[in-house]
Amino acid sequence: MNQNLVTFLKIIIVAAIFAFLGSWVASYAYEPLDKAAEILKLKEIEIFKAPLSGYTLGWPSINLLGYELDISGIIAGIVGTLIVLTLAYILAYMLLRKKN
Amino acid sequence: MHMPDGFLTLQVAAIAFLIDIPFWILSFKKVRRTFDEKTAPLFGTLTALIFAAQMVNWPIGPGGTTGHLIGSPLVSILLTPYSGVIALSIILLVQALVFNDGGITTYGGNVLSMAVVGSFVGYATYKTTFKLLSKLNVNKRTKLIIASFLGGWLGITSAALSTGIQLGLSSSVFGYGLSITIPVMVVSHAIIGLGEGVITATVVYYISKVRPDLVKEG
Repeated sequence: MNQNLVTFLKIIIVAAIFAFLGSWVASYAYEPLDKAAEILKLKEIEIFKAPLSGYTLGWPSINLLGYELDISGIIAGIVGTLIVLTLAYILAYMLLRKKN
Repeated sequence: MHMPDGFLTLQVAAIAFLIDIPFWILSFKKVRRTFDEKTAPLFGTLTALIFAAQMVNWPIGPGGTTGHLIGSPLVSILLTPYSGVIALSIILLVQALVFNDGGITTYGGNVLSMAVVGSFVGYATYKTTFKLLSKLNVNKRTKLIIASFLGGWLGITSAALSTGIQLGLSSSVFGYGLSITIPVMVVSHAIIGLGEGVITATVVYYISKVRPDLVKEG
């Protein structure tokens, strides 16, 4: 198989693993900016509600043996990775086509 | 480091957005000129990889805080800082519109810190360190590791400085000036940035082993 293709497939697999692992720990994220905001009493304003707000699918009514948030986080992470992958590929190939 | 809506005054948010515009134009021009069949797919997969990696948090920050990769120094070292600007701009847009991670009004500010400052400072640090170490006759592997570690570390720390400045200039929102916001942001990210440095150095070193043609030497 083409060496380029092998390298890129590896990166895609690693990205999927990160999306999977990240979704399990994302809910524990407490970043320095959050702490700074707490110290400085900054208030967040929500001007719109994103479809996968907080890296979850927003399906609390579905019972999945207590793993609803984890599973929804994993799916949201993988969906996000695929959206970014698609956008970046489309942009990269548009730029490449323009050049050629 | 993603600033949500409400953290910046409209003036600061607008100025940050205006500063981004020439960087976007320049980056698109440069990237279009340098992209080829090898770098275009790498750009796509690397951007997705950075997005996924940003979801993994490590708990090493002060006061129970966690940190995650920003990734712009890594993209800049492997491709160019112009690719770093575009990759992070895509990631930040998806995070804001799909996940409410970072605001809409603060999008320009987040791009300025993580995409523009993170990419260019990270890349400049990598290049400068690599050249300095070359003069000292340090072996190639050590040069690569030290230069990419410092590129990653200073990339995220300088991005935090940029965010601290924007927050400080928005003091009318919450009443704290630059003397408070800069140290709060920079000190915490200087510690968390060690993780960014380690990951950047590890990935750059790994890629230099499996695909040496993709890693530029300073």
